[in-house]
Amino acid sequence: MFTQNIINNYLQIPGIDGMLLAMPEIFIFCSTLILMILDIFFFKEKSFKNTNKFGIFIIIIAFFLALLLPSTGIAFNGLYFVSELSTFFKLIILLSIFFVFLLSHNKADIEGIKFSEFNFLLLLSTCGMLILVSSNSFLTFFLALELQALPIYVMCALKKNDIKSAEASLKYFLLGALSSGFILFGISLIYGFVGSISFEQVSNISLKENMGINFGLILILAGVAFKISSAPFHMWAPDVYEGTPSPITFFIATAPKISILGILIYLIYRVFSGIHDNLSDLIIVLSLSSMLVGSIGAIVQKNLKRLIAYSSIAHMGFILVGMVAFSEKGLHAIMYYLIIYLFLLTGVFAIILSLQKDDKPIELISDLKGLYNDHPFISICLLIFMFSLAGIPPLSGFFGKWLVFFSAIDSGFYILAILGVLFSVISAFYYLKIIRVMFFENSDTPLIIDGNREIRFLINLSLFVSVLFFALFPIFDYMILNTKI
Amino acid sequence: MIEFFNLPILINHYLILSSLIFLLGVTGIFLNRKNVISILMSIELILLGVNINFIAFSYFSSDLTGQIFSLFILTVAAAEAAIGLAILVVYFRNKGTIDVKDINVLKG
Repeated sequence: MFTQNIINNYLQIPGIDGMLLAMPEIFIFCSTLILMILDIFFFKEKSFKNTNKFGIFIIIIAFFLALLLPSTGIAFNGLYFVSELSTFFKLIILLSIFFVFLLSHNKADIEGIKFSEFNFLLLLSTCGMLILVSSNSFLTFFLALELQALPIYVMCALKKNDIKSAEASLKYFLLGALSSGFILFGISLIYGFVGSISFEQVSNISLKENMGINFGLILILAGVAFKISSAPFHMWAPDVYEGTPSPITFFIATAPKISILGILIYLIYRVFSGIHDNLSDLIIVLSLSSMLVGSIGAIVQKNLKRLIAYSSIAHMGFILVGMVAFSEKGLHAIMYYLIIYLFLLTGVFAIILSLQKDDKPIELISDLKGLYNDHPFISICLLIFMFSLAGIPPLSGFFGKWLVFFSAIDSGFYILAILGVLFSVISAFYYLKIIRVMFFENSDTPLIIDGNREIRFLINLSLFVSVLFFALFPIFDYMILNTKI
Repeated sequence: MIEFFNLPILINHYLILSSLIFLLGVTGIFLNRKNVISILMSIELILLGVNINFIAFSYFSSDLTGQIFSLFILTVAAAEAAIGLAILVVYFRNKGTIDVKDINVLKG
């Protein structure tokens, strides 16, 4: 079987030595608790700014801890494991959290989320995501999933006086709790029919014909599809994206999805690799319906963040194509796609956050009218990001789709790849609509740019990555191609 | 009649009970048209149905893991209920009502 090439066997690390593997998580958790106490006693006036700066500092240290501790292994009696793949996911999650901190640094005031709790909740949720990608038993999986989800529900409601924000949070909470219920019921069935909740034991048993296990697997897949907002479980995504303040929307769109895709890869490629035949049909349905809903649903949207929500549903469909391929190539394609997607969303959200009209953040697509006349450089940046999201050749988004579809063709899923290309052509329509609005329509009220150092840095960084992605290929190759699950 | 009550309770009885409670919770979420509080109660029902499942499996396979898991589920359910009620309070302050049919600011 192909997976033998990319799966390592890991050492059990007994006792307290296992703590060394979990160093980034332990560091983030402890320093968040210390930061809360510091905030109460010392940061009286500049509570938000100071906790934000400390948060950036904590994330950078955790990044280097995850990067430089080279150890891999299984710890805490098989509850927790660190592999090269989970380290890779930890690094991108920490990178995206770093971007969230930078984006929110000066924009918290105008977005109405200037509370130091924002930073604490962000750090706690990060801790949950890091544990999630390296969980090795269904118990750790469930607890980490809740630890990353519960702070996000609260963060959505952080803008206290806004009805939209409260409603988005309520919807997200209700559907998120329902999806955890699905996942739990699936876990309970698998526990009952396998007799263990450890990922190793589950992967060792041949489960092909067992009705209970297959049913549990379907329930777990449905719950996970809820969390990554893949159609037909996408209903919450547009509402939540529209209602929440923009820095939190950016956070919801990137980090939790990356972490849940990380554990989904581990589940599909390793834990349930024995019953992949039963799984692949389900994932094909999820992927095709996501591409369909994402491409068709976005055409009629008027709100910018709602449109981004639909586009992220479509991108989840493209990522799931790589999951269907079930090969080493598909795995690497997903990893490339996640990096590319993270940088593109960073650029788009940095531009959205830096633009203001009538002293308010922009909301509608028609607010972008006249952007080319007012600010040519920003409009060309947005043009490049939109082309890249649509997958126009020299830009980064093209390479993501190329790798994903080629991995599907290599594994023999020709029709899926052709349909994927068709849907990506349809989705180019609404990206081009945004470009038409900002280049060829004029408005009376001028757009004001309120960009600061951090946001300019993020726009330039994402521009650099998306234009020169082909030149950066060797670096990403070095990161990705040697990874083993 | 006496014989009916003397039948032993097997694992499939527990499974039927837990599936019924789970389905009751899920239908409660989707068919509810009145009040958000009862949706929160339906979520609790889902989690409790899962707990019955875990404890029944744990008892019949004499393995303690399921019971430990159900304790963890109870704590998470408590945290979830607390957060849900807090979000509901924020929502009520803004809107003045918690009717399900009035949750319609965001749509499209």
